[in-house]
Amino acid sequence: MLSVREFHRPKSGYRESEYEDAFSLDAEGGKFAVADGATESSFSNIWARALVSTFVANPPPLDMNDRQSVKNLLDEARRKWYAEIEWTSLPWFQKNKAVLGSYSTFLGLQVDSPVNPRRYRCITIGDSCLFHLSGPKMESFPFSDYRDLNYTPRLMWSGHGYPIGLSKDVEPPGLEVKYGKIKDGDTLILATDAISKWMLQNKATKPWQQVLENAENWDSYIGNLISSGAMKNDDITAIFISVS
Amino acid sequence: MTYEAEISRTNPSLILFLIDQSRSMSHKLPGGERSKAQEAADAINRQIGDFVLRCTKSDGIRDYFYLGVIGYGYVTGKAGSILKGDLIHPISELAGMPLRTEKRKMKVSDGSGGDIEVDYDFGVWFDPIANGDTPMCKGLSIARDAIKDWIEEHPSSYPPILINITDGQATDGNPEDIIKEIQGLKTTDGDTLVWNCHLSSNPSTPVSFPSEETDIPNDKYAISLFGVSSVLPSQYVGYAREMQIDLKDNARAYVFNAQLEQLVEFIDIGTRGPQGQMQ
Repeated sequence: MLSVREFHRPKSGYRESEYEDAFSLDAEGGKFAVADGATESSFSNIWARALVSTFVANPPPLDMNDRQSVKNLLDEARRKWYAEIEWTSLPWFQKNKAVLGSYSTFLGLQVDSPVNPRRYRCITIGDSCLFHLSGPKMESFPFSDYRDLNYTPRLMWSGHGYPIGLSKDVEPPGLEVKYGKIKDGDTLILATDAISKWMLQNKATKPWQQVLENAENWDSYIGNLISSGAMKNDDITAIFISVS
Repeated sequence: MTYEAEISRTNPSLILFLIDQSRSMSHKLPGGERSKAQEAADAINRQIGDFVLRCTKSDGIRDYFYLGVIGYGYVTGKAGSILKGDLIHPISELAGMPLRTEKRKMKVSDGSGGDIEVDYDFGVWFDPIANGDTPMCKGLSIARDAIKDWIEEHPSSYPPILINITDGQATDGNPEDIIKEIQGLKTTDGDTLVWNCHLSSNPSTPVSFPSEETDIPNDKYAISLFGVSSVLPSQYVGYAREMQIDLKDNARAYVFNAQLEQLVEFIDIGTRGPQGQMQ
């Protein structure tokens, strides 16, 4: 069985409606996704949501070619994103920006049918991370060093907004894929960049345990980490999956 | 460290443009098709539009910046705000109050190495004027008072930036003392930065971001403005180098004999620092 706890919050001082990360999950179906919409682009929250909801609602077969899987996700998510925005009623300055499209990171995890150990595939574009805890071991993907999260991440582009729209095909960017196996007692964590960086930076003290211990007052726990400067003030999203 | 404060709605930053509107600004700017007044107005209007664009989010515009444009010489001896209403405006207010928008073309990436041309609305907040003398000191005094008030209300903000665009010599005194006074106005994140762009009257070689007096010609007025232009904080030296501009670590925020290319480049680099600090 996969037991799931999900945590998310907007940047400190921001409203829930300004949260630009996104997540979607189907614990029974073994499908999970997180995305981090780029603040610099317009409607990146809608784009991030389109990516995660498309992936969880319609995941590619596990044996489908990785790049083709992402291409299918991109095509479907672009249609969803484009349909959700009322392009022609935007004010002039918003139109100027919206035509440039939206950007987001993406990390999707699919866990195979319940046999022990279970197979999984994780596809990622950008700097959201997957952590695999197994006994005393912790593996992280795609980064193992927190300093690797200091750079501008690779992003999924929605393609142009109105008036160019969906007329031009968009190729997926470079992606990274990990195949693995999980057994009973393991934990998987999907996390966007700020909390990933904090966990990698403090991995010697097993910070994921502190997060779970503070699950009931998660918002103030993370808020304190941010105000003390230990964690970057960013949208925070994490999905903890326990295997039993 | 300085010039590292995060810019947010609760801790916004101030950008002021100061623009010479004297008669000589009607002369053509080398490297461009139009007069200095037209090219400078276009460059500042474009920059205001860029600030609006950067602050535009899905749910509207976030007031990360407050902007003002002060003109001097539109009437002999006069200086003041050339935007409608107040001297300083939050960016969301500016987005709603251009004089007009003009249809222009811009190139956008097609995502596969090429470009596509697309129509966009170019905001115009003020029109070019080239009319009177050069009361630069009066314009600077207005800027100084506005910056002083701003810092009182925003003591820990990213330091204000003043960008002065001129082609001539002040006709109402020596601007050095006022500029030094402005540079002495500081937030906890650093001193106010003063950028001086001296537009060309001839096609001779421009000098961008000089570090020594000997880098510029022996022109009394140029030496005076160079001497009171801020030394570039290291972040800005980095931005200029990213744009392939060759400059030393102690370069100053000054361009002598700027043509259109240097004018646009100067404004881009001058506003890049705060744009990079948006939270």
